[in-house]
Amino acid sequence: MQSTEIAPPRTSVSLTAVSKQYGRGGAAVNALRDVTIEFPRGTFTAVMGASGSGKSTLMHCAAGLDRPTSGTVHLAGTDLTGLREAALTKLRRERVGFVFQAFNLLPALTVMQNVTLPLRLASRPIDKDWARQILATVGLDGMGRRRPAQLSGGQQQRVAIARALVTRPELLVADEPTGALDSRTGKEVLALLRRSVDQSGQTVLMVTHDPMAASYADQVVFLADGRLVGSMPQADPGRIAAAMATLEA
Amino acid sequence: MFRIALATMRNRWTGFIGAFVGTALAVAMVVCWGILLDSAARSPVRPHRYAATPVVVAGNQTLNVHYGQGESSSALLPERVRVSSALVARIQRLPEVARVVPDISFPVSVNGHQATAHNWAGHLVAGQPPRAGEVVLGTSIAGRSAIGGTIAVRGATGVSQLKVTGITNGSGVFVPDQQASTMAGVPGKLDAIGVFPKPGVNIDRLAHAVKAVVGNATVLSGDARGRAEFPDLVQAKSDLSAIAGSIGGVAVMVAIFVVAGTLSVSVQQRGREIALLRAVAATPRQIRRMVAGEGLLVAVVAALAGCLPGWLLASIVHNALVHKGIVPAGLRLEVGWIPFVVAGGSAVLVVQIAGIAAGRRASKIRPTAALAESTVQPRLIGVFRLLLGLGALAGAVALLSVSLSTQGDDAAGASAGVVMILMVAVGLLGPLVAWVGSTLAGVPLRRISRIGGFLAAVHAKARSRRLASALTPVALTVSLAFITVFLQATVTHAQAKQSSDRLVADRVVTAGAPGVPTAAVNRLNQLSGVDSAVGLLPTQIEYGHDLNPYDAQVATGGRLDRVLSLNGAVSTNTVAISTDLARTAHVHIGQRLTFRLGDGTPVDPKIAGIYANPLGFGDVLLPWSLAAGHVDNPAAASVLVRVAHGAKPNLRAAYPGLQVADRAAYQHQQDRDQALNTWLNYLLLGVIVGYTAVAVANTLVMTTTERRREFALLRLIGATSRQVLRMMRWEAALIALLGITIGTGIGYVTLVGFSRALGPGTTPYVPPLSFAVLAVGAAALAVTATLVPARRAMRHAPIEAVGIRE
Repeated sequence: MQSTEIAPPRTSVSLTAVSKQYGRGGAAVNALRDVTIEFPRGTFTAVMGASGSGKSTLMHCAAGLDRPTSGTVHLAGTDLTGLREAALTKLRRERVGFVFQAFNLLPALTVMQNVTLPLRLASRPIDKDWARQILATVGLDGMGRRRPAQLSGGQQQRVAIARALVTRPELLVADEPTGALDSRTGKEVLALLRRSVDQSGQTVLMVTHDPMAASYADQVVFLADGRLVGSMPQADPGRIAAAMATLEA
Repeated sequence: MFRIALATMRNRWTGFIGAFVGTALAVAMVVCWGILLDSAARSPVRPHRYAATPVVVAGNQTLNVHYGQGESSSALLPERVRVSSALVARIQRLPEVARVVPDISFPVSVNGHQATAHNWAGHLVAGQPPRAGEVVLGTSIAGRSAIGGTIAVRGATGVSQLKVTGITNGSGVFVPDQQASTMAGVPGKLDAIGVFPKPGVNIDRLAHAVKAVVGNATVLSGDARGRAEFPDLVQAKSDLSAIAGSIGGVAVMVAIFVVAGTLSVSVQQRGREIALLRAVAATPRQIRRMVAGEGLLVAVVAALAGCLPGWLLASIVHNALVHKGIVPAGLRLEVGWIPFVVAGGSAVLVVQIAGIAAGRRASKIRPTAALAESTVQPRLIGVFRLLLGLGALAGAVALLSVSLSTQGDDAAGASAGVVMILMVAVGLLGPLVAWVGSTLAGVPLRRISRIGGFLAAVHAKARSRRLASALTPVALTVSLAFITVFLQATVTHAQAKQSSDRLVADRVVTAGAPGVPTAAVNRLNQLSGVDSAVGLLPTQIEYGHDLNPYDAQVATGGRLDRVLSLNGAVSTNTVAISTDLARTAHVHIGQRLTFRLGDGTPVDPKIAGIYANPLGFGDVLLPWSLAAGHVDNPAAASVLVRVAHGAKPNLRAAYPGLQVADRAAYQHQQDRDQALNTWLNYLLLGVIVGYTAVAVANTLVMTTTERRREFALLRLIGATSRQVLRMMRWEAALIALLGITIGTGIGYVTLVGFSRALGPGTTPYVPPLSFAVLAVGAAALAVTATLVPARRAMRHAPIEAVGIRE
């Protein structure tokens, strides 16, 4: 099933002419229209846009959670378009780490069990030292035996990041990771994502509508009405907010 | 808050399906057994033949006994209570009376047909009455017999050669009035006496006048006359009442479990929603009222929905009972409003109580839980619940020790209590049991399956409350099915074993409904080559203040110990009783025991022997001279014959109509009689087990469906749906394993108590194959009811399901 096509070496994920349509006929909604974009390896990209702009759909397509109606998606050199659900799942668990806004953890499992779960699901050896090291990196040293309910919201997000990183994924996808946090813990989580890019060369793709969060990224891309409408390199929150305002006007 | 409840239900009706189904089925169950119970009480026994007879005099079939200080008990007598024929003349002399009609019916065999013989006067048949030595036959009996010919009519006392003087419609055999009682074997007695008034005498006056001269006999008029005409119907009503009462009782208990269980699961499912309501400042009181309001709505709708299926179920069960001959067709289903109101009312009540308990727990949910990662599992088990559960367990242990230290009915009664109380204990201690069980089973499980097994073990342990809600109905189903199947199997097995050990005769002789007369038994004994022939007639006696019925055998003929090996000194001329009865009555050999014969006549014979193996035989052995005058049909139902070594006597030649079976054929016949009991047992408890099985499926579907988001998260972080299903399969296997273990434990413990009641040395009989079928069935149910909704829950893309919506 795997394509032999070789993607450009420095690119982690690339979308080529991707469109996504939900529903049919008159009730059809075009969530993405002919989007072409690359996310270079070792960079932090923020995808911004108003509600309904298609930013979540873009993320789902890039991470192999959803299939585009037309166009192709390459993840680490593999064409996702032709893969079946089982193959996609396998690819996801090996190449992609996920962090969602909330409800990231299985409440019945301890922190350590949650972090190592992707390894277990992939039937890979569970390297406890590596998991402990990651937990230390996210600032949760020694909390491995706790359960999610015993942690604060910020701590839970950091466990989610640790879990996303444990498989050394090609791509880390974060969907509004600070959406449910206060600004101080939100900043800690964002700094953590930033560090993973700077220190380990992680590729991060983050969907957000918060200019503050987007200011941690190397590149900010803007979506409106399913189209790519602009991008800017790393900028401060004020400029990002201004750009957003121009787009929405 | 009620409006919120209403709005919630309109939006989230799927969440209430479980509670609705559980409650509706509970109502259906209660309605079903309620209608049967009600029918047993109200089904009229209307006179048919006696309809044209204004007043009927008959024996009092109900025995009332007064004892102590104003205490009393009553029982329906198993043998027909007849009246003296001397009353006919006495009533005839009354000035109010125009005409008196004697009536008696008895089984005979004519031309190879089983028939019922009647005295001529009792039946309004046109034509010339038969005189002494004559008979009138119904067309279906007459066959090729023609008027003027002679025919052999075989009855309880022997064969009468009668001249056919008339042929009439139907299947009756009509004999002269003077000859009837003698042919029936009850000389000087009648079934009933019909009384007609002189013109101008009203029925009340007539009845009053008759009452003054008939002594103990009852004087019946109106619909009550039916009781004298159809005593078997009256008995069937009493039987049905007992069946419906005891099964209905179990059904109600099971229904309470199921309803309370499903309601608490449906509240548990919505922990987050309730927390959100708390977060937006709903008070705990308002939450309680909301939960109670929802419960009320569910209960009312479910009660309405359950009525019709209940009615249907009652008519199905009734049909089956009639079809199998357990209940006569004359006992009709009476559908009144009472069962519906009782079932509906109690459903609403139980749901309210369960709703208050569930609401109390719900109202304790912290508002912050709405924003937390997930609904936090409440404390494993509350102190109050723990204490109640431990109390129930202690009670069960105490009761069990009672049942193990006693025997007979006390042990049986105690065992019935044990199963109920153990079930309550499991219900209360469920979360704790689930935690311990999943901890123990988790260790090997994690090793066997590194992904699915590991996740299942972790979830089961962390969510033992949820596990407990799924496990309790499984345990309930298994224990009920276990007891249903293996109690009967144990009884049958023990009876068959004792019967086969006991029977040392090598031939068994029978003669259809009229039976074998004592004269024929004597003739069999005189045949050369016959070592001993003993005629047996089964009946019942009533013992004690509460008139407990005991099976008895009336014996006549040769040496008893040559045909039956009863462990004790017994003969056909003396009274012997079982060790059970001896222990209950505190009597020893040589002492007297007071009891009542089948028609209520008190006797106090000397006990000459005590025997130890009464199963399938009876607890009392009576000599013919004592008891034969107090049974319906005084002829031996079977004659046990021991043939001298090497001899081949022609047993059939001893008397007309004899059938001869060897040991094996006879035992086979007895097993077939027993099979009817087994069938009844299966039908009645099968309905309940079927119901709990639905409850199991219901609960498992509910607890699985609520985990949609958990499945989605697992899939997003890389689990294939196959891995999730494997996890659920392991969880279902764990539920099945624990449920089957606990259910079997409860069943077995109860069975040990019951088998003690059957006599010393009796052990539970559990055929491995039947048990395997039961266990596999329960496991298949648990796995299916988990995997089907799990598969459904994963139909949608995981990213859609992982959202905030729960």
